[in-house]
Amino acid sequence: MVAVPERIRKSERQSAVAGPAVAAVFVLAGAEVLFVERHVVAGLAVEAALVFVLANVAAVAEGRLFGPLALVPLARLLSFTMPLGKVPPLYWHALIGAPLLPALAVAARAYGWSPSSLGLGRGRLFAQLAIAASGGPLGLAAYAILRPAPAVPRLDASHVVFGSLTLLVFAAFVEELLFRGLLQQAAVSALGAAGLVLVNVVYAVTAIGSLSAGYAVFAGLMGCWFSIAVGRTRCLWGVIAAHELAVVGLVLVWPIVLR
Amino acid sequence: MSWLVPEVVRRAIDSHVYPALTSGAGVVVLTLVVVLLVEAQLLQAFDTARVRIGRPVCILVVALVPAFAFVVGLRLVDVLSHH
Repeated sequence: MVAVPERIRKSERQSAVAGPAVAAVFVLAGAEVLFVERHVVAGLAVEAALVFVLANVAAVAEGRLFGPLALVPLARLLSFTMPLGKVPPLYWHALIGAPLLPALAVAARAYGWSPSSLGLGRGRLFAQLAIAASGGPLGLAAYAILRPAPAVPRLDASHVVFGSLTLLVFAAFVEELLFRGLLQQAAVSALGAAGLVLVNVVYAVTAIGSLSAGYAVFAGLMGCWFSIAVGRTRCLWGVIAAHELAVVGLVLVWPIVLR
Repeated sequence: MSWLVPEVVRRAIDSHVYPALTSGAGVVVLTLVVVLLVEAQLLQAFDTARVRIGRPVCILVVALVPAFAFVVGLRLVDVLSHH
């Protein structure tokens, strides 16, 4: 019997993961375009079908990519399902992110990731502070591209404190744990460096709903910077802090200070 | 900046069809939960060991069920407060 070289087996394994993953990215992009074109229910049906298919692919495929990947279309389902009209815009992230947090915890446990293997251990302080500092200019650049309306009428202490905490837990932490934690770990171990590209293409695709092509490209590039930072330091805290600074600037500070 | 609340969601909230839209989204989510749970039960009943659906279904249902319960609960409170 002729043994199959490990290199060929690895290539076959990568192809078995890359095919469905790339197809999922195209379907995600299609659903986002449906939302942009105001076919919201059709977009939701596509996202729900994608969640179902990814759950089934995760059930039979090797590796840990498809289970966490199913959380991306699931989050978009939650964005439209939760009764956001009943609460102030500052707290919308909490309403959508709250059901995602336990799902992320269950996914990490089910697929055998420990907090430290996901980058939630201690990192080198100065490196993490330097990464975190990049959030300031990133938030300003995002504001220059998107120019969103203010989320609050004025900047007072309660808005800053509660808004920052909400955005820290439900925007920065949830997004970075999913994209730069679970998905990046799973994609890189299955696909190598191509996995890093895949995760950030998914991240850019989810920004299509911002109605700005420039912002979708910016989100993809920002995601690449965060991925490289996490890959080098094996720690998520710096990018979580950078994401927090950027999103607080974009949602709370710059729309009021620079309007 | 945040993928959770993009502009398309803000636009939908401002639209006059938003209440119907959230109901439609609720129906989509409920259908998804039921289909996932039924499939998991069927696979368990037929003992198909190669298909390990339990893990992904568990992850998804943990997010979907509380979200759906919250929406239904809020709607119930709305209805009860009007009677």
